[in-house]
Amino acid sequence: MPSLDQLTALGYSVGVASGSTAAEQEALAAARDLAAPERIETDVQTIADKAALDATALAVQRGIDAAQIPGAVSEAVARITQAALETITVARNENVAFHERALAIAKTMPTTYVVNGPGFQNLYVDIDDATGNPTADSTEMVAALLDPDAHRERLFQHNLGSHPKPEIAAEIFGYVQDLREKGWTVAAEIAEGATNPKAVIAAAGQPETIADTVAKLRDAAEKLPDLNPPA
Amino acid sequence: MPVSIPVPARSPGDLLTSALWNAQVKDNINKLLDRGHRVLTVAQFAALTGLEGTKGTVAPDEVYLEVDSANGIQWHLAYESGETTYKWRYLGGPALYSEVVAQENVTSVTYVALATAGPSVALPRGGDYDVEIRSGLTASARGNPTAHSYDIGGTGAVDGDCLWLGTGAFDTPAGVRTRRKTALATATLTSKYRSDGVTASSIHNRSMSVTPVRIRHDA
Repeated sequence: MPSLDQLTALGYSVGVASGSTAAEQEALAAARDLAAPERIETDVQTIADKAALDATALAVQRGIDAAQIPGAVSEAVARITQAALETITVARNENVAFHERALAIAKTMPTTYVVNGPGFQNLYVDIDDATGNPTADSTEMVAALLDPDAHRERLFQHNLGSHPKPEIAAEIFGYVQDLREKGWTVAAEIAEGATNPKAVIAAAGQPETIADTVAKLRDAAEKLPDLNPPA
Repeated sequence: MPVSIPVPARSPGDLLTSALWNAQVKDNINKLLDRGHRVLTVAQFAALTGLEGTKGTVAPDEVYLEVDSANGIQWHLAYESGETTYKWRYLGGPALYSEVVAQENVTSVTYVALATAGPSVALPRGGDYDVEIRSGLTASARGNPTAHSYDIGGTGAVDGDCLWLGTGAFDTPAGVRTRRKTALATATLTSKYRSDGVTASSIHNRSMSVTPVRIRHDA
């Protein structure tokens, strides 16, 4: 599953939403276990044992002669057992066929995964089980999630958004936006800056044309304690 | 549905009463066969056959369809044979929800994905759905019209489905729009955005909620 491996390598959590072939295989195996003759025999015997107790109690309650009770009970139990055996066997075989159909259908479906990470929640992507690659509907989505610059930008915003002093975080973010509007390409340094704002200022340099902006950014950074990277 | 097994003919003095039969056969078998309302995966839902349920005459088959096991989202559905195509009516459950909070820009005059694509929701089955989109806008200039719409599978986003946001300079409005989209096929809905192509728009806190109205199980 190359796409899933790449997503998890970036620290995103990935869960199965629907369409898992493995889940259908497990369900089919469980259905086959229940349909095994020895399992059915065990369950029918349980029914027979309970029925015998109830029938005996009923016979006593009715005042049937003690000598006749075993015969009457065994007849009733035999009929109950036969009905239970036939019904359970048919139904459990039908259940196996149902899960066989479900597995066959699952194999024709992509698996839908739900991806969570800094800056987003519950992005649904479809992955082709055979190739491990996203389906046509999800190709753009997965590519965007794997884009390194966009990933760093999300980390930056996530870290600022998690800062205990939102007003300072907003100030920093505003200055970064200001830098960008003046033509800076700062995305590559932003992730580092999210954990150490002073470093990003040093790395970015201080061109004359935006010196005032950098000064503001530096001032703001001085007020910004080190931020914690996302867990 | 609970199994129905008729009590066999009885002879005088027979111990096999209706009560005994029901307690030992019907109830036990229903329990052993796990009858009643079942939680089904999407594939199991698609594999159902022999369904029944007709308003006013036959009680409907019901299922709990697990549409997102990671988030524990199940939809309670009831079968209605009178429906033409989408025979499973939605009775309840949470919406499928997707969200991108990151603030990102769009300058394109045609619909495009932002740096973080989405939000996106994969429809598990074809049907009629209520699709709600929300987003916030930070404008860089007065007016600054910006649209949030969504692709439906391979069909590109259109203005007809969009949420329009427009502002005075540096305002930060937010908006929401819900549309009932009918006869959707199984597909992924993926948010797309566009501006007037003149001024950059900065979008944040964008989300999508999708709730079924009625769906089909077989496609």
